[in-house]
Amino acid sequence: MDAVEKLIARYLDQRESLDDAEIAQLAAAAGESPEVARALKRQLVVEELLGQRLAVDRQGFEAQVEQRLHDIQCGQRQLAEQAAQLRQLAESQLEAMPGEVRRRRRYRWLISLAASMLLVAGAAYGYWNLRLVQPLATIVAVEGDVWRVDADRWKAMWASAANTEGSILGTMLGEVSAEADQIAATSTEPIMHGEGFLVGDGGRMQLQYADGTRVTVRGRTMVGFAARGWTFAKTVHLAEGQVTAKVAKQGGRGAMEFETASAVARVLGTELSLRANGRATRLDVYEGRVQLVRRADGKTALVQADEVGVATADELTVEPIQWPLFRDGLIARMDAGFDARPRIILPMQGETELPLVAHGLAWPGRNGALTLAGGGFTAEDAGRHLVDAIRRTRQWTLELLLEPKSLAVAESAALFALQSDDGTEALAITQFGSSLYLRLAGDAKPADSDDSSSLGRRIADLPEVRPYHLAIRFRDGELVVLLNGEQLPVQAGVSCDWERWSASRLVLGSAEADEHHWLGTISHLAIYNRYVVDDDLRRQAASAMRFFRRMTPQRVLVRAVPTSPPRIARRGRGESAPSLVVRDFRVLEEVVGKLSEARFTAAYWDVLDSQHAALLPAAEAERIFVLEPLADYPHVARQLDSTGESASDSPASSTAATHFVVEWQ
Amino acid sequence: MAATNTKLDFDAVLAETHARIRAYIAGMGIARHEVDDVAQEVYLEFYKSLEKMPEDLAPERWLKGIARNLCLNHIRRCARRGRLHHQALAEILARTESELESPGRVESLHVALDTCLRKLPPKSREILQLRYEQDLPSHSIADALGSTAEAIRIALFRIRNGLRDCIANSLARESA
Repeated sequence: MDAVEKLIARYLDQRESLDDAEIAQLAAAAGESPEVARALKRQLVVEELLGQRLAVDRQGFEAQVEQRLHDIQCGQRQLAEQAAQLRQLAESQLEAMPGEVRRRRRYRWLISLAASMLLVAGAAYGYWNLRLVQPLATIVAVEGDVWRVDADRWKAMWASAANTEGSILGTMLGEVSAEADQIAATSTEPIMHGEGFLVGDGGRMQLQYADGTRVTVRGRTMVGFAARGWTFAKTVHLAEGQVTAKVAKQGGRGAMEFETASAVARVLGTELSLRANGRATRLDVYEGRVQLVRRADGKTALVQADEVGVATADELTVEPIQWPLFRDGLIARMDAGFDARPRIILPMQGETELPLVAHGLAWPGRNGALTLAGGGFTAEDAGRHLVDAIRRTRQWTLELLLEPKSLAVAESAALFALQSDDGTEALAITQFGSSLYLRLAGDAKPADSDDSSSLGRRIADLPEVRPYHLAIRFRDGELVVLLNGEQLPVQAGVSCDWERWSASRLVLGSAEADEHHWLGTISHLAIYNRYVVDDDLRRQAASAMRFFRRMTPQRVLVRAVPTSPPRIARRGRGESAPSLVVRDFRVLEEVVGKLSEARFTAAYWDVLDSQHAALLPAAEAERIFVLEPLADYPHVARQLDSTGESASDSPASSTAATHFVVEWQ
Repeated sequence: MAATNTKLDFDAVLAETHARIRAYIAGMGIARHEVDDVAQEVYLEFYKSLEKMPEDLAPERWLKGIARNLCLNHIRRCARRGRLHHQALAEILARTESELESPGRVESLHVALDTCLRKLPPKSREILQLRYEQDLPSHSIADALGSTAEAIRIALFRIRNGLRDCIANSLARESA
């Protein structure tokens, strides 16, 4: 690389890093040599194309231009209207004083000229101050105590929060709620530039901007709202607490910014939650991408869907969001065991972990799903903790992400149960045919039900074999079911005998004594002892689905029909280098065809030949083998042997010497 | 009705040309973070002057004329140091042709870029991601990757050259 190329590289990196002499040198080189000029131009153009394609804040250029045009057109209309109003006002005042009018008529043109000039200056000033008089947003819902503070007061609070490491919310809430002239916020009220709000314990406020952007302020939160710059871009100052937002596409107004004491999150259109205290900011992104900027040094990180970004004085990190997203009232969640140790975690018992022990033909996959192929998993003692927690509140919400293997289940088969040692159930979910049923201790079957009494209450019909997010919640005799975020008809009058609510264990799939087995996979489980609202359940459904797709990309994303039998050649160690070595897997499915919509990321599970990146771009892959890891479950391999499945494809342990070569056609 | 037609034409021209006009502006040496601001001004001027545009002139040429003037104005206004040299450089760059700016379908350009990006080795893609997605300067990328700023600048220079060749070949194949 010669000196001029190095100069070009620096020019591209940071214009300001070149001093006058170097700029002159570059200009002279480009002037003297068309090759240098072309090389520089090519670099600049490719850099721009990359920026257009990859930069998060450069995707909506057309919308930005449209917005600018719209603003100009609105501005011209407003100016014309204001001029007409002022002229009308001036004329009516002149007409009210006829003696004066005669004397001033000769000077009217002078007055008009002066008024026009004032008008132009005033309009510019007025436009800038529109943000002070135009509502930014409207409050659409208020629950509990929500106090409004004016702009000056909020400014002082924001400064105080930014300069204090600990929490000041308690003090501020105390001050504001004790004042005689404090203003309680109510719905349908507008929010003005600079105003702040304090939301008390258990309170909640929701507001909406004109473009549909919605912000929800959770309990124990101090937050302010402002408009930024000439485009009045939306700005939210989160001093402490938590806000969630669904941000509409921002177009030419510029990114919506969520500022905290430690960071700024820049959003062009997405769904997110932001939490902050004096020291740290946590950003959870559910959709789209958000740029998180640490205020102290301007360091940035891109936080994408299902990721959480944390900014403190010491760190700026981005990690995957742990499911479930909501932790209030969470009494159990499942970790399906990427490390082959599936377990139930009890957050209310200090994150106690209870192992899920496999029996029969059931095993945890490294893709984060439990495979139930004629068996189940049991967490002893989990049932007791869960039943105790639910009896305290007498309400519950259960979420499962499941994928049945069949829609023609001939005998009722359980996929989830809270069960006593004697086999009685507090709660059980079963599948019969293509329908799911719920059995609840003390619930009589509905009067108009044609179901067999042993099945329980029919809660959902599954239209096809695919993953489903199932959410069931119960309170005061009302049973609500959401399937993939869609609410099914509410069932009222459901009785639950809390006295008979007892259980010792949690079972996924069939219990050891069961004769009929549910076949499929379960990858997520969450249980709450509270009534989780629809919006939160929908968000969790979307998040779980995204996670599931990410973990099993081949089966979900590839749509193609096998046209020929698998060609898997077995070779021993030391033979010629294969294109892909697979071990400890069995082949579930082979897909051949046009794969333009898929990227082959079989190596996501981190076990295929130590590859981390996509192995092949879609256009080059003609054949994909869907593989299932068997982990360290020799009993599964043995049972596969006995059932005649392709056990030869599933060596009993990771130390087996058998390798398979997948040949690409 | 006339206004509606003007708007429809404008939208179509905007959609069809903005990627290349932004590239043209960048190709005159306007800093990356200022390109879209200048480009917005170009399209606003274009909108205002739609009726003045000769009928037999391609909109993209008209737009490039506006862009050239606005870029030179921008450099005159903004260059804090070495204004004359920046201006001279912009004039030279405006006269220099780039294969990637020639009229054609925007989609083709983006498809070619995407295809070429996929062909890059993971390390190169990571550098591009840090540079363009996360907008990090070379020294920050160097910190993240355990390298030096100089090495990152050179790597970026070479990656961009490789991409330019790849895109140009891809477009040539398509037009053949």
